[in-house]
Amino acid sequence: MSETLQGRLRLLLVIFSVLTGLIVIRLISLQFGSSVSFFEAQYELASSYPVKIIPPRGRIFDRNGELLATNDVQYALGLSPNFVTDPEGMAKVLAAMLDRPVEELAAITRPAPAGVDAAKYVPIQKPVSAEIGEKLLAMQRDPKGPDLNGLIIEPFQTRTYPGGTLAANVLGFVSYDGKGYYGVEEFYNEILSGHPVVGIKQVVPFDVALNPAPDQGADLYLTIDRDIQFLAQETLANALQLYGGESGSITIMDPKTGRILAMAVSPTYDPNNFLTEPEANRANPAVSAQFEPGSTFKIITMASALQSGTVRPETTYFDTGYIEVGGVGIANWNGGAWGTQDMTGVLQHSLNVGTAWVSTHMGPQKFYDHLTAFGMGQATNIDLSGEAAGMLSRPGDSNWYESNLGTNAFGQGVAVTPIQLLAAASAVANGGAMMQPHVLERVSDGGVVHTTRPQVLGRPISADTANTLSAMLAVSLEREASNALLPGYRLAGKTGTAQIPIPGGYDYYKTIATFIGWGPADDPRFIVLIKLDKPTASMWGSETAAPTFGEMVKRLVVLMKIPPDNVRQALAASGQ
Amino acid sequence: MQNVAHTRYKEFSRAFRQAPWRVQTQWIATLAAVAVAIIALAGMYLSEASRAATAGRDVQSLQAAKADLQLAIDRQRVQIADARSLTRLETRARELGYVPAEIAQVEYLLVPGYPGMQLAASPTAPAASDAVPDYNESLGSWLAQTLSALMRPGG
Repeated sequence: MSETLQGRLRLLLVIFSVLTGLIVIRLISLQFGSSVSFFEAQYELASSYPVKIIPPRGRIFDRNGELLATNDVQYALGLSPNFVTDPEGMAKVLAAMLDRPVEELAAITRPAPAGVDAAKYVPIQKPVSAEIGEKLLAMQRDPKGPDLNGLIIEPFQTRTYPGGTLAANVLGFVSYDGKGYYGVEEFYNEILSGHPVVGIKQVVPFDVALNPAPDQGADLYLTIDRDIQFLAQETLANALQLYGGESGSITIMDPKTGRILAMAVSPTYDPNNFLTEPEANRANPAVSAQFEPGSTFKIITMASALQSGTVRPETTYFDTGYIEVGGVGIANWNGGAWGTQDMTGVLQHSLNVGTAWVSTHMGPQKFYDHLTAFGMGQATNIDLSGEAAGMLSRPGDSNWYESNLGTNAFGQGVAVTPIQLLAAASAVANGGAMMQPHVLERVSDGGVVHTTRPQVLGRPISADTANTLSAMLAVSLEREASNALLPGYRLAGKTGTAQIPIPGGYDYYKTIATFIGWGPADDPRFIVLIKLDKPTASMWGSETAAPTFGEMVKRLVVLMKIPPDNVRQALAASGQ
Repeated sequence: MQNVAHTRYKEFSRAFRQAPWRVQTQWIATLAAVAVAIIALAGMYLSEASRAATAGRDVQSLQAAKADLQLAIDRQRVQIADARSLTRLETRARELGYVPAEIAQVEYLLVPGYPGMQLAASPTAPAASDAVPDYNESLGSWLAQTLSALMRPGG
């Protein structure tokens, strides 16, 4: 080997050694130098990102385990314009699937004009049904399918209500941000939604680690009975059609426990399509709408008078058809005079004069103390969102006048919600104990079951008073041969026809027709409040709400497996 | 005299000095051993890294499959609920000739000992032992476990 060649090789060796040394030095500086944190941050940024892990929302069942609300999948469609390779073809496919004009979609899928930066993401439609989303996904994955490059199909969890409008106003709905609105969904949102956690999504498989598991949302079992709810909604719809009512509600409760078995309101809505339904229909007027109860309130007045010892069932008064209280004249519903009447007669004929006579004999102190004990002017605290407290003016309030003592006695000048009136009347049906109305039967949280115990809301009257009044109401129904009666079953109840307050007085042509009834009278299993707003076929509760009650109870006793009184008593006797 | 001694020392040293090829062999052997050790370590690292990456990929696949299954379960629950909806059941019952029962058509019997219809049972959660434990094996514990397995008679 010549010396020249050796020299050149040595030179090359030196150059490569120097270069290798430089690379090694650079590698060492990168590995251990001051830029380590920068490169680590870059790596973290590129290889992982935080993700919010949202647990599935708890489901809602009725008392028998029938599903009322559950989770479903829908899709959000979007576009990554830089990745679209066949904008016209994609627009045609989407137009056919989404039932939208091709031109409208082509305007979205077409590439941005030259010189304009395309957006990274363009939304197309949200929500898209699971069926369409899955079909599009299948097309996208199919190598022989249409070119859908750039189409982003993302699933997301949604709430679905298999019964549609069934118990919609009790359930409420969940918006796309996962928050519950109205009803149970809002009231128990914290329990249903669980607790999301933030985890790390690792792109590099080498770094994959298990993320913390979020707290799952708990399942709720309601006191609502799906079959009874269906019956109540069907009965209400039929009644409103038959009597030309504008709106209404039917609430059914177990008076011994306060369990709400059904709560039907009209107009209602389908929570699956909450965005397109009228917003006014989302609330639950059975707990949020206040109204002047009219004659059904006479149950509360008479219970108060019996409890305070002011009257007894056989107490009589002479009805002249007119009484003046605080300078305001009060007449009966038909303007007539009914002569000598006992207290059962007052209830049977629904005499305004009689109840005003009773309240004035009680005096304001006793009368309003008893109304307060019945929960008037106070929310029942039922576990549904949006409950109103009603309104009751007491002596000393700026809006209380002496005449209120007379008018309040037959349900004028006092505002209640249907649930408030029902809870108060349930004290009469339940031996004097007013139970806390509630819709939650139990919570199933990860296998641990918490059951709601019935609670006594108050004892405004004694058992004797309750039983006496219940018997009086049963007799008054029977004497009236009310349309609410059901052969074979002894029922107790009271009709109501409330005038609607308008500025300057009352509307004399539109009424709120109501009926409160319970049965069997000796061992009540249900208490029902029927409320029909502005019926046109007849303004009277006895001709609209009472027959609605009778029609419904006919099927309710079958659903609740309540035998006729004679059969029940015979079975009870043979079982002992 | 001194020259003689020096000459004898050189001869003595030459006689006992290792042959150059021996020295070279020792160097080569040492370097080879180091290289083998490095390669073994690198190989082990690569092997473990690839296994970890594969396991990570499997975890990702399983997580994706779990999410898909959850979606499928949700869909099927909805389909079952739709099939059991009251409107559908009522329509089907009417098609089959059923009508709502009247009070007079119902016969009540006393069944001694029957407590009546019970409310729906709540589903129970899986037992705690079914849950996947956290992965907490360290290199040390893995080595100890492997060595003990190798040293076990018949292992």
